[in-house]
Formats: sequence, structure tokens, C-alpha cells
Amino acid sequence: MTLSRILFLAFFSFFSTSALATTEVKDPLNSPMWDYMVEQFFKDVPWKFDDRVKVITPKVAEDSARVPVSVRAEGIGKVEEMIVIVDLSPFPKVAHYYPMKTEPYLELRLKLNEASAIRAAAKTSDGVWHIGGMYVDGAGGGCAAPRIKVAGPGWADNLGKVQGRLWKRKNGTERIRVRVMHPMDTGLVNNIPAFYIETLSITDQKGALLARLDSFEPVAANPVFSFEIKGGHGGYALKGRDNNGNDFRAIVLPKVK
Amino acid sequence: MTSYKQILVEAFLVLSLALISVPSNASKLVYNLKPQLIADGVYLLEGSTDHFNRKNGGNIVNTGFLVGPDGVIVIDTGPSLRYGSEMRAAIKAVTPKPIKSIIITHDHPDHYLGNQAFKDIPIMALPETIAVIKRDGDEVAEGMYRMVGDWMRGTEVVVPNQKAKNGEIVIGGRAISLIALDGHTSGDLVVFDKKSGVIFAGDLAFHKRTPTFPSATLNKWVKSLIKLKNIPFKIMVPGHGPIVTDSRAIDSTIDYIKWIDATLRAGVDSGADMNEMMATDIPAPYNQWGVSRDEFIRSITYLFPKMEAELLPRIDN
Repeated sequence: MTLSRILFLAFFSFFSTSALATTEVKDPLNSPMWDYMVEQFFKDVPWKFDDRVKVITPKVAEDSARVPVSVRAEGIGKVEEMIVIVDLSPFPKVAHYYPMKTEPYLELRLKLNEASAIRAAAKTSDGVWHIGGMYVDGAGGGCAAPRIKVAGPGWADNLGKVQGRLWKRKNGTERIRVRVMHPMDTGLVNNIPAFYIETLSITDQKGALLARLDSFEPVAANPVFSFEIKGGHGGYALKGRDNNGNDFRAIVLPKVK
Repeated sequence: MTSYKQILVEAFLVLSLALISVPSNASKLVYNLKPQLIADGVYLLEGSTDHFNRKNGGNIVNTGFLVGPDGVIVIDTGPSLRYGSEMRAAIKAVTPKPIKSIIITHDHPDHYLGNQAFKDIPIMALPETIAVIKRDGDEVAEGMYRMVGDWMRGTEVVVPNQKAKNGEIVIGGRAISLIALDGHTSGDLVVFDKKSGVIFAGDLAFHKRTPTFPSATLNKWVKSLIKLKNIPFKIMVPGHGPIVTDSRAIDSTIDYIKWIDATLRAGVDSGADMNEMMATDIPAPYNQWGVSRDEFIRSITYLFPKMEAELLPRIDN
């Protein structure tokens, strides 16, 4: 075989492989775990990458125990479900939100175990999952770090205390922020079993369900969640439960000036 | 005729040579520390006002040393073993006098990870600082390896072995005041050299460089700075940024802390989420300081959740 023939073959094979690659959908975040994420969360369902699903988070996770992530899925039609996933994590699924009568917006803070793609997927009424995301660099260790740093040593005395507030926004929506005192143990540290808030629901004052959030191990200790709701309901009731059966209840009303 | 195998062998040889040559590049890492004489017997080693990166090797910090009649006092040892060793060599080039004592101003890694190069000498720090270095030192050092890479090679945490106390002390024949404060961290040690009027403020004072808040308590920090203002110093060495001969570094640090506090309170009160908060406009002059946006984002990371805990009302019964 001559050198020129080898070069020709190398040249030819380079172009033929790149031609093949373009026929598949390439992960814009180039994550090594993307195929596995598809396998786990989007097997046999229609999905596509969609820039309109926005994930906002700092490019570098300064505090891996608490990385703020805001998700918004606007302009794609009615969103029925939203999930937040972290590709490189012992627990890829962070939260599953059913916005129902609320806006397709969610803010939370998560534990990052290593630099990874953080994604949000929004399912529209036609059954298609629209997927956006961002790559976050960081030292990691968030899922495997002791809670003492964030939840504090006196967590048991404060378990279930809820803080929160409601704001009327210029665009006519209301934003709710809720902070629940909870250690959110992943089960990966010091033989402490997994202990985390599993679910949180928002109802109006008459008890009609407006939205539900299921949360998982990677949500940061003393979790904070933000939601947005169109129009005024004059206040909301929040109801939550952890995986040990502890219930949390709170009522958030507009601030009286 | 060239065989396919032969080409592979040659390619392998070329690649191996390329790999072997990497360590020779790595050995070029030099901080090139140059002590500047800023007052009689007082030397400064000034770092950049940048973030930790692989170009500066973590040399973003001001360290220094005082030469007394019988010996030398070192103030902070820099971010790595390599820095500490170079600093020690630089001191030796300035004076043949023995190093008597090392003073560590606080528990942030750029100020004490050079301790290893001074292991044979007493290293003092406030008890709060010693406790944090014991608890977090290894994890913090690991973070430094990740950020600046090979510059850190061989660096291990050496915990200070002497507790510093507030008050006057004579070391190497030179009388200095140690001032125990806090706010930037749980223990901030300030060194005031009365003879020259030079004050080493540690990271209580930043100058033309954005202050950092990962371990800060805002009101304590401001109180400490007000105390510093009453000390009759002639030259102030801030922890980061150029030296000053007046209270500018103190004043601008106080202003920034107050701005951060007000911005965060207003942010929590307005319902902004953390990522919206991180995109807030930074006004002049803060937006002209080193790494203003990066440090602002870091500040929000640490301070915003604390502020929420403080300001959001209880809504369970």
C-alpha cells in the first residue's frame, strides 16, 4: 500500500464518518451521558432540543452544595410537565414539575456532584419533550458532602419550618418563593439514610390544585423553590411531605402594605 | 515502499516524544517574586488582582516580610509550596538574618498554602483561623489544585502551630502590634509595624479589587474596618491590590460591603431569584475593579441564601 493511498483512505473515511454523524441529533452540550439520559427519560417518546427551554445558572458552580438553577419554557405551547436533570450525577433527576395552572417557570438550588450538563425538559400537550440546558463547571462533591455545611447541626429543631413570600409582578403574574427547613440527605454520606422532601403542592385558598412538584435527593438542603402564577388568587396554600412521612403546611398571602 | 505498520510505529514515536516534552514545559512555572522595599525594613510581594488561574498560579495575593535587628517576620505565605519556597529564597536574597516567625492573617488558601516551605519555623494565626484550616484545609487545597493546576504540585496543608493573641509582641527584635479582628472570616489578624507605620490589613481591606465573601459576616467586617481607620498607619498593605497611604482601601471596602448588603436586601425584598440577582448591574466604580462580575456572582452565591433565611417571613402556622 502506498503512502498516497493510505492518505486517500484516511481522507475518505474522515468525510464518510462525519457525513454519518450529521444524520443523528447531536447533543449541543456534548455530554458523555446524553445517550444514557435518553434511555432513562425519553425512551420511546418524542423529544427534541429546543432553545426556547431556558436553563439559567452560573457557568461555574461556586458552591456545589447549592447551585441556583432557573428554568423557563415559554413560547412552546402549554407545558404539562417539566423535569430538571443533571447528566453526571448519582441521581440525575432533580425535580419533576406539573405546572397545571401555573407558569412554566421553576427556580431551585441543587447539589452538583461534578461538572455536568444541567438540563430542563418541558413536555407540551402534543406529548413532545422540548429540551434545553447549560453546561456547568465546578469542583463538585455536592451530593457526597456532609449536610452540616448547609443545613447546619441544629436541623432537627427547625425541621418543617417554612418561610415564604408572594410578589405581584409587573407582567401580571405572581411569584411565590418558599423555603423549607430540611436537611435533604442524599443517603450517600456518613451512613445517614436518604431523607428528603418528596412532594409539594400549591392550591388556591378554596383547595383547588394549581401545581405539583416532586423533588428528589439532589435538591439542596433547606430547599428554596420559586413558582409563578398568572392572575391573582389572593393567596395560596402549600402542602409538602418528605419520604419519612413528615407533612409541611403553609399559607402565603400578598404582603399587606 | 512504506508499510502501514511502519507508519504506525513512526507515529507512535512522534507522539511519545511530544508527551515526554510536556514535563519540561511544566518546570518553567516560576512566580518570579520580587520583594519591593516599601518602608525601612518592610518588604512587599505584590500579586495580581485577577482570579486564581493557570497563568498566575494563584499569585493574586499580597504577602510581605519585616526585617528586624535579629531576624525576619513573614506575613502570609502565598497559595502554594512553590510560592512559599520562592518567597523564602527571595527573603534570603534580601537578608542573611534568620526567619523567626510566620504570621498567617486568615484562613483563605492564597494566604497560607505556602506554609510548607516554612515548616521548621513557628507559624502563628488566630485560634479561629487554626480551627478552620484544620477543618477545611484539605478540601480548599484540592480546589486550588483544580483551579491553578501544576503550580500546586506537592502542596500540602500545614496547620499553624502557634496561637496568636491580640497585643504587642517583639519578634526578631522588631516590635509589632497584632490586632485580632473578624468579618472577612471568623478570624482576621492585622499586623501593624509601629516603627515604619506600615499596616498589613490582610483581606479586611481590598483596593481596586473586588472583595470576596465566602466566609464573611457583613456587619462585623464593617466594624473591623472602622477600627482600622483609627490606627495611625502611614502605609496600608491591603490583602489584594496596590498599597495606599491613606484610608482609601478601607473606605472603598466599606462602601462595597454596604452596597452588597443593600443590593441583596432589595433583591430579596423584590422577589428576584438568584440568577436574576447575579445579572444585576454593577455600578461604577465597582465595575472597574478586578474580576467584578465573577466576584459579585460568588458573593450572591454565599450571601443571598443567608439573606433569604433572615428576611423571608415564616408562613407555617
